[in-house]
Amino acid sequence: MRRRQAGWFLAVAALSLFLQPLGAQEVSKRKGFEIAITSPVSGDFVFGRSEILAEVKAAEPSLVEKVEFYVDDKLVFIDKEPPYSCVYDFGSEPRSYVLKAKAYHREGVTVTATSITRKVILNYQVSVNRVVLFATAQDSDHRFILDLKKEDFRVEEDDKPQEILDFYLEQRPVILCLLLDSSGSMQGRMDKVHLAADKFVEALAAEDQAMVIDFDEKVFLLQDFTRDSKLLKEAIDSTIAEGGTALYDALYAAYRRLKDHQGRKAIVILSDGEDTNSKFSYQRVLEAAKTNEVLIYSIGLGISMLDMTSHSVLKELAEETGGRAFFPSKAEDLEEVYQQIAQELRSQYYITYSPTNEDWNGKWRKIRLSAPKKKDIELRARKGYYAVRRSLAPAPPATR
Amino acid sequence: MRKSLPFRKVAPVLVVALLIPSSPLFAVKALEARNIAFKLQGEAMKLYKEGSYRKAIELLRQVTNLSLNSFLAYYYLGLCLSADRQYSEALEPLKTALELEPGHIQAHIALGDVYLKLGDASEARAEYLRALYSQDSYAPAHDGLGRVYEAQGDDDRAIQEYQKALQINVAFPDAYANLGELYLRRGRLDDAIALFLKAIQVKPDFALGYSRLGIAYSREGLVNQAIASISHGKEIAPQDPLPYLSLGEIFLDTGDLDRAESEIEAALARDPAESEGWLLKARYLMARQDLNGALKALADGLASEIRDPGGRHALEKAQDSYQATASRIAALTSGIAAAPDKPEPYLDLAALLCDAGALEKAVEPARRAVELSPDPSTRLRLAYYLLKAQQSAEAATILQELAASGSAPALLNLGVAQASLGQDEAATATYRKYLENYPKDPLPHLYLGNSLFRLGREKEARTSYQSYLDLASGDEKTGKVRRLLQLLEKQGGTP
Repeated sequence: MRRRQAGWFLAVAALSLFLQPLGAQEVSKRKGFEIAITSPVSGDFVFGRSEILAEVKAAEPSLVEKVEFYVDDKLVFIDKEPPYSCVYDFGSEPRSYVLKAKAYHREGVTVTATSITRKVILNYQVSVNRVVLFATAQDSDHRFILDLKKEDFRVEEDDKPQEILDFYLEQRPVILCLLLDSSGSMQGRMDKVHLAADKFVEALAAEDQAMVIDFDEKVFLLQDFTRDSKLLKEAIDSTIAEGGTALYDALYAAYRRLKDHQGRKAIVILSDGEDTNSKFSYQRVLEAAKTNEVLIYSIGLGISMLDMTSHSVLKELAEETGGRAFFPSKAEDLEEVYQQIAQELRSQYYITYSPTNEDWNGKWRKIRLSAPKKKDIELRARKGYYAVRRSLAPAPPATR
Repeated sequence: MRKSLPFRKVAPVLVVALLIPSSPLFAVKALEARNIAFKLQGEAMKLYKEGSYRKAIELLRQVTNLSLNSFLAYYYLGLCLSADRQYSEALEPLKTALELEPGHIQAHIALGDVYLKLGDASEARAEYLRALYSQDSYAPAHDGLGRVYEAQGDDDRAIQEYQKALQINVAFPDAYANLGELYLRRGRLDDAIALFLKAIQVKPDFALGYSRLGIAYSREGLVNQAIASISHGKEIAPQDPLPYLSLGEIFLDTGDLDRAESEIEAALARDPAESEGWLLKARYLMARQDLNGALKALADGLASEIRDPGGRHALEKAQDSYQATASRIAALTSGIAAAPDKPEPYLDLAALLCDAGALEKAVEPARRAVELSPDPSTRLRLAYYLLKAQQSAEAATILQELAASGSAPALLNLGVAQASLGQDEAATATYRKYLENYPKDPLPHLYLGNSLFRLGREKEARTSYQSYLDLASGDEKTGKVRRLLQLLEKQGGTP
């Protein structure tokens, strides 16, 4: 007992030593002097040689002595002149870096800005230095052109021509994610949606696999991947219109479900309006579209050019991935739209090339696909990829 | 407005279904998805709170397979997986939860904790900092940063962060415990004890605090207090294996092997995936001179469901070390078989067995070495192994002969042997005789102090302890002696 009392005495004495006042906090803003990291901002992902940019505001700019740049507490550069920036090699995989920029005022004070980048797993398949493209060609009457040859195509990456290595008409099965908007605004149209989507499922090849995701303000998986069209149709037909619209959440969920599958993957999304309930931002979904090798076919039911946000979102997502956006004005047109998508999935070319630029610096590279000798032809393929070398399994052999 | 309860959707839909006879058959599936997800999520959260993590994980996996944007389902799935030490599996659900609620501070902390468990201090730090950017005075984030810096070997920054956490929240038991743990590791026993006491003061049912306090007490040599503290922790959390392990370790250190075994088995019965339990079992079996048993315990541990990479690594490391010992023993044994008349391999084998904790087994080869070569140096080593194996009477006989012929180490060890036989008067005389020739050697002063203390001669004991402190360099042992001196002064010299 006496020993215990001694212990308590020690505790009191020791704790008074432990609880020292906190040290001076780092601040990004003082009177007439502030700093911000403008690139990359928190939540961005970085890799390769990338620039860190800091903006310093001072009542008297000439009194800014220097800006120190830190990556994970390590001083990497001191810049004494605006614009304050430094280039740092973040390696090949985007991970969380704590970036700090500390500006010194000649009068002795400092301000510090911090930005924390994000860890991202890039899923775009540059397998063994090979870029894969799924390309669609249509004539001026929107008929699919299926007799093009390797020589007809020209692939450019960042405006530099690339040699096509693999080329064939894709006949391997597709892995599909069917997203159905069942928000309240779809009321009265669901029967037609069911009918059109059912027919789409019927039109799939026997080896194709599909899943059904139903979304209003919540996102539910009604049917996981299956080749059984009966199950798919049951899931489709069970959807009921009610609630808000979490379009981006649904898209992101589809990416999550697709990421563990190999092969040609596509998302077919039907929606009739603007996202009202998502927790994911559009930027995050667009980023997912750019970093995943998934074709997006978007159907904006009743969405016109006047619905600027919805229209541009669905269009951009489709175009970035090499898919296509449709904007039928009425539910009666859905059947035809779905049939076009089914047909397009059976009318794609598989093209690969090995990039001449071997600097895997993580930057976005633009891809341009053309058929210079063919007139009145529309070509669609993804718009680019992040130059990250990945050691994935090589693409499976062509069926012919 | 966001729909909070999926069943709100059910009632109007059922009405519609009754009015339109063609739709209810098909409407069931979408409705079922919503109802099932809602029901399972509720059950899973209840199971989580009860600590039934594996059952909760099963249900939450079903929920996340149905309801693809439910923050709660992903968040709790991550928490349950982490609590079940499935750290790699916990990453994805927690990341998804944070995608759904980027500003959720507790989810950042949970993800940071998982990264730290997986050994990725950079990502862990980023998560704790993200939490701090959401709320700049958030004690668990500072506590997390403390753990990150500690893992990176930067104790000074770790201490600063723990202190910040405690400045923000003076009733934050984890930060007291973590800072206490750091001090315990650095041998600052008083500070560690003070912090553990504070932790259990602010949270009287903090079982971990009692366990760690017990360990700190045991390091101080206060075994009874240690056992009392840990036993209290055991009463608070009878299903928690940690107090059992702590007690097992103390009993192992004090040579009470039967009680050590009982506690270790109790810990493993509560959590067979606790790597520390298997490590301790191996140590216990070594103390029982059973190297094969120790190796089997480690193999059993590795074959169990341990998912914590750090825990697996520790088991693998121990296995390597024990296997190396087994190989060396095999090599020495075959060397002895090839040349049975050389004393050196016997002595090497004795040293190896002693280092491995097989103290009684170490005596046998040492005895054989003496038979082959009864020189003073070999006999001194036999006496040392006998002392370690608590066969003090035989050790004392050998040491007496060696000391009589002028061996100083034998004289000092003779004092130790006499003391362990309860002959403190004789030991006191032996230590004094040794100190006549080696007055600057600190340890004999300490041993002399201990014997005098046991004889109730506190004043003389204090003088010897003071001499020890004057001569010894500062370490955990000097700290203990200093505290003992302070205690003696406070308590008027009563032991």
